[in-house]
Formats: sequence, C-alpha cells, structure tokens
Amino acid sequence: MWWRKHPTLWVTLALMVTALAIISSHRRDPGSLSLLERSIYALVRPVQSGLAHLLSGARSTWEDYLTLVNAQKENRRLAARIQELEQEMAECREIRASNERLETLLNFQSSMRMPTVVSRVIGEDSSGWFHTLLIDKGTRDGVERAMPVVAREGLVGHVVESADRTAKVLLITDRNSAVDVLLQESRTKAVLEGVGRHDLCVLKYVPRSETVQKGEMVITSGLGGIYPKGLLVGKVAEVWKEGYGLFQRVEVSPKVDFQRLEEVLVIKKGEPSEAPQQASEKPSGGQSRKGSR
Amino acid sequence: MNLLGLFLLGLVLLALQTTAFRFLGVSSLRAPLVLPVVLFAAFRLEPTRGLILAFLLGYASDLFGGGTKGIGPLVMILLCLIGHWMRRGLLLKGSWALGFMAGPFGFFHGVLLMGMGAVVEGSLWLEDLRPTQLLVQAGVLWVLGPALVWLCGLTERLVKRGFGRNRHVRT
Repeated sequence: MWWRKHPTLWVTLALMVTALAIISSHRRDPGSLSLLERSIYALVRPVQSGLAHLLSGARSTWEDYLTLVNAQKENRRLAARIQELEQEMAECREIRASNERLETLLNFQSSMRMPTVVSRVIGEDSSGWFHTLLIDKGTRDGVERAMPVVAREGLVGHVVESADRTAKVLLITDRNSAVDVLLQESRTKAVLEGVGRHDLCVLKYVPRSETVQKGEMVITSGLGGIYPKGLLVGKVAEVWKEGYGLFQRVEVSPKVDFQRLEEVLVIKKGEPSEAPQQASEKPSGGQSRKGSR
Repeated sequence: MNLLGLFLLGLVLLALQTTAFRFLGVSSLRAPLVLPVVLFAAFRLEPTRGLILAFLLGYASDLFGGGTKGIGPLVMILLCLIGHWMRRGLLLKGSWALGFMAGPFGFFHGVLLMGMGAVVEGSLWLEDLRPTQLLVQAGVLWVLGPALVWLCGLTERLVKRGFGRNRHVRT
C-alpha cells in the first residue's frame, strides 16, 4: 500500500491538518469545549485539586518548619515539644487563615447585589506565557463564559472557558484583556489593558486634556457587557504626558495580588440593578485582542 | 498501552505544572514539564506513536493554557520530529543524557510556541516573548529533565510488566 511506505510522513501530515483544524475551530468559537476536552478536564481536575490542597498545606508547613528551626536554636531543650506545638499551631493557623479568608469573602458576597459562586483557585496557566487561572467551579455550578470574576480586593478577570467542574479565567493583567473602566474622581472613561505583568496594567485612550491624579481609584464602567459597573480594579500608579500624541499614558496597579489569590467569586449572569443590560452589544471588556485567546 | 501510560503521566505532570509552581511560590519558574515526555517519545518510541503522543500532550497543554488551541500540538509535533531526526546521530541511552536535552528543547518550545502564535494570531504574541523567561524555563527543564525522563522510562517498564507483553519499542 502506498501509505505503508512512509507512515511517519502521513501521520505527521494528518496530525498537522488536525491541529490546523483545531486552530480554525478555536478561532471561530473560542469558548466551546469538545467531549475530549471535557474528559481531559474531568480527568485532570481531581489530581489538580488534590495537588493544590497538598501543596498549599506543604507550603505552610514548610514556612512553619523554618520558624521552628530558629526556635530550636534558641532553646534546644524544648525542641521536641516546640515541634509538636508548632505543627499543631501551623494546622490551626492554616484553618484560621482559611476561615478568615472565607468569612471576608462571604461578607463580600453578601454585600454584592448579584448572585455569585465562591470558587477555589486550583491552578494557573500551563505555559507560563499567559495570565490565566483555573478554578474549581464549572457549568455544573452555573459558571459560564463571560462571567466576571472578583476577589475581596477587586476585579480579577472573566471566565473564558467553562467545563463541568472547572473553568478558565482570563486575568485583567493578560495582554488579551481589555476592560472598560472609569476613573472614580475625574469620571474619565478609558480601556484598561494588561501588559503581561502581575503588578501592572495600562489605561488606554485617556485624552491629554484630562487631569489624572496619581492614586486615583479605577473602577469598571459597566460598558462592554461583561463587567457590572463599580467594581474596584486598582489605583493609578503613574501618569505620563509625552511631548506629542492625543493621549496620555496611565499605569494602574491592580488591587488584587494575583500571585496569592486562593479564593474568588464568580458573578453569575443575573438580574442585578447595576448590571448593564447590553447583551446585544458586542462586548469590549475582556474581549480578546488577539482574536481567540 | 505504552502510549496510554505515557499520556496519563503527561496529564499528571500537566496538573503538577499548573499547581506546584504556584503553590510553592515560585510561579516565575513555571516550565512545560510535559516536554520531557515528548522528548522521551521522540527518542524512544516508534516515530508514529511518538508523534501521536506529542500531538495529544500538546493539545492537553493548550487546554490548560491561555493560548490558541491547536498551536501546542503543532509545536510538539515539530519538536518530536526534531527529536526523531536527532536520534539518528545521537546515542542518548541513559535518562541523564536524554534528560539534559530537555533544557535546549524547552528553549525551542518557547520560541516555536510564541513564533507560531505570532503567525496565527498576530505580532502581539511576540511582545510576550521574554528571553529571561525562555532561559528560566530551559534551566528548570535542564535540572528536572533527567528525573522526568527516568519517570517516563519507569512508566514504560511498569506498563509493559503490567500487561505482560512486549511491544515494539526501540531503546
């Protein structure tokens, strides 16, 4: 048979054509998940969730172990006892810290007028090149694409993909993220874009004529159809007016510490009084600037 | 069965790469841990099986990443082909020898991923390409590569023993 002579060539070609078909399909409908994709998510989720739990505990134990080493140096006689107590304390502290976080999140949840889902962060972007998070809630819990995600401190991003019990969140710091925002005091409208850094975003299209103060709060404007109005995003860190151009450059430092984020709230699509009713409008907030990401 | 065993190992490593670096507070050291599995497949498996495994792992990586789906499989297929081509001239018998190849492959993985992304989606992808990140990923893979390749070998042996039959595998 003709194809038996060069199997590697034909397999390579077939796989490459399949990959191109996947790219094409993803560009057409970036949020949809196939059965295979759902199965992989379902297969990996328990491992991911277990590892997240285990490693989170290991980190706190390790930190407490370091403290313990210092304690041993100070008082060798009580080393064994201290170890026991420290271990117990570590567990208690972890439980207390977790309780405090959840309590604050719960208070925040009850203060919100929109229906929300509390979710745990179980992973992050696999490649290291993009800013996405994986959370442990999916379509079964009512989490769908284009739902905003917030933390106690402020806006986190929005859901770009949702499987049965997992969802992928595009952070506001990703280069693909674009959020319609408002400067709280001057009421200037702008678009907040990520620059690929966890601690920085930039405001685009702020006219030179506008006076923007360092430290001014940035909130969501409610335009764009994804984020409701009034969610805290961050504060202005730096303002530059260069010698020419129509706009000024404004840097924003996000309120949320994305590196240490453990729990988030997903705002479900609902009937809030503040939520913009612009479903028919093509969303610009969080809309991918690279097309499908 | 070899293929399934290595694919499952790849999924576990994928789960590890998306959680471990974050929860250990070394997120900046995140590297594609599935790459040594692809390297192992390229050097030790029959070419067609290696390519299929590379495709599947690239696809799974895309699923947990923020990039366009489909670019990962293309990159992994290319890396697998490069590995397959290299094995004709290189004698990499042990885990250490093969594992150390993971570093340079990690570097090319980053370059190819962002390069193909730029071709498919536009030049904005190239703005994300940071040389320091490439070197860090290569360094992490260079250190972890031998252990991960050894793990691949162990998985292969366990699967073979578990199913009690010899498959056509080049060593």
